[in-house]
Amino acid sequence: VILTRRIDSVTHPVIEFLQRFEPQSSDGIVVRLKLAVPLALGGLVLLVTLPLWMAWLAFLLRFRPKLNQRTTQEHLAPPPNAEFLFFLFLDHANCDALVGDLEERYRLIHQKFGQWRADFWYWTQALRSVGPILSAGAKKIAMKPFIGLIGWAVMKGLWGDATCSAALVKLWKRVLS
Amino acid sequence: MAKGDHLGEFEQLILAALLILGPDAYGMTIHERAEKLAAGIRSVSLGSVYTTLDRLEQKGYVKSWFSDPTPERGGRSKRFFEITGSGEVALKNSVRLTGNVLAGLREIGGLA
Repeated sequence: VILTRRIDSVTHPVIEFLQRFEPQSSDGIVVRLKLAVPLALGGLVLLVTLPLWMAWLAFLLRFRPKLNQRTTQEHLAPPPNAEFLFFLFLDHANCDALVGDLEERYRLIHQKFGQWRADFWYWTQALRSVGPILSAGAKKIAMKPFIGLIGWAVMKGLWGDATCSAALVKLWKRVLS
Repeated sequence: MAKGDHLGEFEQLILAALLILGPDAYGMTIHERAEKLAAGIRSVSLGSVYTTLDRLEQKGYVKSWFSDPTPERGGRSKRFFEITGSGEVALKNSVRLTGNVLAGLREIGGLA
């Protein structure tokens, strides 16, 4: 109900706006617009979140099947959404090792204290671990354009352009000499 | 010792845990040992342990290898870690530096 109201609240002004240009519009056009606008909005949301859906699909196809290899303790599976966090932000080998470590401990907690506590522990570990993984990844990514920028400045300076980069290179050479 | 060879506090902690654990050092055991060593001082997450181990491996202080997958880990393999010779040297230097700082502070009564 809330979703329908929200869609209505978004579509209603749009329809009113469009009707200004179509004063003779019949109910048919309004109905078509009422369908078209939510569909377009839905499509847009789907398009924006497409990389996430693709990653989820890859997770299900490549990573998750390993869980199905279990035969004896199938019910002791950690929450898949928490695993997906690691799949998103880690390379495959590290993800495999880290999730394996967590799953090993998850089973012990599950057997001792039950599923609720094990799930809580798993989610806590997942959320605490994502921060450092993200910041390490961001540092790596941020360094690349920075190094590229320095490289570009040095190269441009070496080719003798009368720019500030050339002045920087001259200054650097003076410092070195 | 070059400037880039210095270890951060967390790197020191992880290398110390690796040295204590010896051949049984993999993600979860390193995490547990590091938590014990840092008890009451700072918190340690498994994610930060892995990112630090990756960084130390790039520096050449740690080497790692994967074991065969085991059913109790949901068909996943363990990643074992071992401290290298240069890692041990870096850790010794780092600890020595901390020791010198501590001794200096004790001399002036800075740390009661």
